[in-house]
Amino acid sequence: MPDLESKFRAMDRVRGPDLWSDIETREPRPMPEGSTARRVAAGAVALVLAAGGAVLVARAFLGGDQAVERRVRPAESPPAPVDPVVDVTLPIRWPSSVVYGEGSIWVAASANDGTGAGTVYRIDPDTAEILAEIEVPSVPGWEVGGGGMEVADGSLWIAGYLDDGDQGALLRIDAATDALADVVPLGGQFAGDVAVDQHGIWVTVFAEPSEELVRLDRATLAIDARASLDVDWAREILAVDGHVWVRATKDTLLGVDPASGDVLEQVVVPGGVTSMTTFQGAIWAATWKASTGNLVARIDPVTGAMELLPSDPLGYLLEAGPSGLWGRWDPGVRGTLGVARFDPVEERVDASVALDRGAQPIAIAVASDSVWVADYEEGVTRVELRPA
Amino acid sequence: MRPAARLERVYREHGDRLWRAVLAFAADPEVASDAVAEAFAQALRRGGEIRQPDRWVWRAAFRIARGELKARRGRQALVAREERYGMDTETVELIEALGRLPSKQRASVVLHHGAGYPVREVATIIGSTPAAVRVHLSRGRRRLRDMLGGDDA
Repeated sequence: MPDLESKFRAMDRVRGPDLWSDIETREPRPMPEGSTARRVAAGAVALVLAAGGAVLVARAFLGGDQAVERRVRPAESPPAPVDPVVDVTLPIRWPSSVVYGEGSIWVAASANDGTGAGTVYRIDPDTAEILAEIEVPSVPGWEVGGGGMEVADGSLWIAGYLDDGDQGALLRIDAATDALADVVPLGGQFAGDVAVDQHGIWVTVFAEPSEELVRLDRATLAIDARASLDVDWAREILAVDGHVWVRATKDTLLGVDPASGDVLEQVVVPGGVTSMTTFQGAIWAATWKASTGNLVARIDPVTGAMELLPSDPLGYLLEAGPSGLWGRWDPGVRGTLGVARFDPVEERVDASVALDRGAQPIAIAVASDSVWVADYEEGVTRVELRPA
Repeated sequence: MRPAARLERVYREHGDRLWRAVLAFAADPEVASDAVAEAFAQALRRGGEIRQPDRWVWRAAFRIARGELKARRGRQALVAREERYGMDTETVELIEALGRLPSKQRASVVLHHGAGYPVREVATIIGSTPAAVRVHLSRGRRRLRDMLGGDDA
């Protein structure tokens, strides 16, 4: 819209005041994210049961500082030693998410044409052969971190949107036929993430005036519950051992009772969460603080107890799978990034490999003998895990 | 470089452009000044904790301005302050038209067309996704074209 650009350029003549002296002397107000957290703490959550039309008013969030480190149940077993080796990069443009399931790697890539549509690639994790390419009306649109996809019940589930962004949607690809089998409108604006457990299919939906948590029946795909969260941002969902957790705002995880809709627990991760996953029955979140560097938070999904473990140089991204808990590896060398594994028993990084220079990993999937890394603009790289 | 010196350099490079963008978003020079100053003051307090201060202050300034507008329940008239900041009629019309867009459409248009940020950066600043930002831009442009005239892209 050239006219619009020129109108804005005309505005360049407007000069603002020099604020630096004010900046240097003013006392900053309480942190914005803190105020959001307080709104969360003060709010109640209403779970609307769509079928009965009944409204259950959930109890208020638990208050108090939850950033208390308590010992979480220990890791189950150390991972087998591996030697990661960068193998091959598939030239897939604009990958936005990558997951492992049904014996395959699934990559969502945006058409980047402004429509939100894209292609899902199904890949053999052992041979890197592309087994199927499935056109879909919407792919997960997060810039970094992946997510928005889950493999369960013989299907790939995708959190997306429809109608040019008018409402969120859940898409299902049947892993038996590699075909788009269902598209379920969800209301709101767009869906943020999806998780599947014995209670149903959980989807976060960005909506006005508050984000929502929607549950669908696994058999019929009918919406059977919709929770209105009193937050203006909620993205990832994790379902582990019958417990459902949602990340709301930068640093707050909300534990939701899947039966009643009550928010049972609120955990604040110091430094904020950049990525989270489940592994060996615990929730794992990547965080970072200036005083400590990279940390991984191990959180008990039952009690909300949390412990923080130093993880340098692993941080920013986290994903788990059959071959362990992996994350982005940043050795502090400009232009060099890679992937690394965190040993939850020894509580240290036990394997790492650098990707090609200039690589910008944005999402990771972990298979049995390989790790897959999606790049910011182009490329999905297979890292082979050889026995050490 | 010390964090404070680094931040002052960011202010000298971005401050004026950021202030104009927040002004276009909020339609109030006082909100723009407060949001920009508060964002930099917050960044100054955090020191070396912030890895990319330029991105951080853009995000923070828009979040602060949005919070202020919510507290005030909307934008206030700009025209009364027009002469004080030397705005021409075209600029006033643009800001008033922007004021009729929903918050995220307005922020997307201001950041993309006004401040020149690519879609992915806009998504980061306003806490959305690139896909959603493209939708906001498309709708925002259409509505601005209806209000101001001109060609849509």
